[in-house]
Amino acid sequence: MSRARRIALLGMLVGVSLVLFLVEALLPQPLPFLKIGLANTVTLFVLLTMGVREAVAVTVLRVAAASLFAGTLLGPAFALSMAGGLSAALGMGAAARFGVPPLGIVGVSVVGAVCHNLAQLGVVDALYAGSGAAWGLLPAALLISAGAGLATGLAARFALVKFGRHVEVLRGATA
Amino acid sequence: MVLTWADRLLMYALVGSGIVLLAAARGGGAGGLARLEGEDGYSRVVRLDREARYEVPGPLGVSVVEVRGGQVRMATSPCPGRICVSMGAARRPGDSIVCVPNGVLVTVLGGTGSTADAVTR
Repeated sequence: MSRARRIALLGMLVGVSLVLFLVEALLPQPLPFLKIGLANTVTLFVLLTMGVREAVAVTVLRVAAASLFAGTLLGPAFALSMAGGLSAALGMGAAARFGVPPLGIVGVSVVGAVCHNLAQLGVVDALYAGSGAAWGLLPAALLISAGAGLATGLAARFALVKFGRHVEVLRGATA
Repeated sequence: MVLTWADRLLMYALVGSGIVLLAAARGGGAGGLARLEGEDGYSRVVRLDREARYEVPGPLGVSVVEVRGGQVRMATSPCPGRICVSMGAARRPGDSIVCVPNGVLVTVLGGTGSTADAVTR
């Protein structure tokens, strides 16, 4: 894929993930930390169609722009989002690549959700709670990760089935 | 098949460990503490994992504080309105029961509280 195509495609995908982020922000949240992480669908999509580096790039750009929209740029919430997003992207990259028992899209997505939550709990513990207090949320985080990972995994699979071919066409166009 | 067997295994493991950890956290709850304060500097810290009744002195008489099932509540009070009695039980860190007429204060001690003090998206 030519450089221009790649940049255009990644830019569009960052836009898609931002829209998903904003849509999710509009949904009611029954619990403060209960979040599906729809925007992560794009990270997973990019990871599977393009690669880890692209997935990390899209995630970093999304978190930066999303926190700009939410008015939390460079605040503590930004640290949380960035840590969660980055570790999810890297964790999913590792899971997709080295997952010894063959993990499917949903499995990779669940790994990402777990990484996301673990990283956020770690940051919360380091910044605020201290002395491991935040890890009291670990059981809830694991349960939520399973559900959220399943949801985003299925969404990513849907996207892959629907649009993956277009990315392949773009990639193949100049390959 | 949308989910591979490895996917399923991972999900089961997650849900299983989540439930086990949750149960462990419930069962092994270290038991909180509560401070009882009354007249003339009466102040003592009591355990919530031990059922007991405490008589806390106040200007109107004795307020009886009851600890049961990890909760603390005002059992009887000599005050006119019995508002403190009808406040029910306190359980979470930071919860408190106040009897203004009798000057009795019950506060559950511990961390920063389990309710959210900040919400982020």
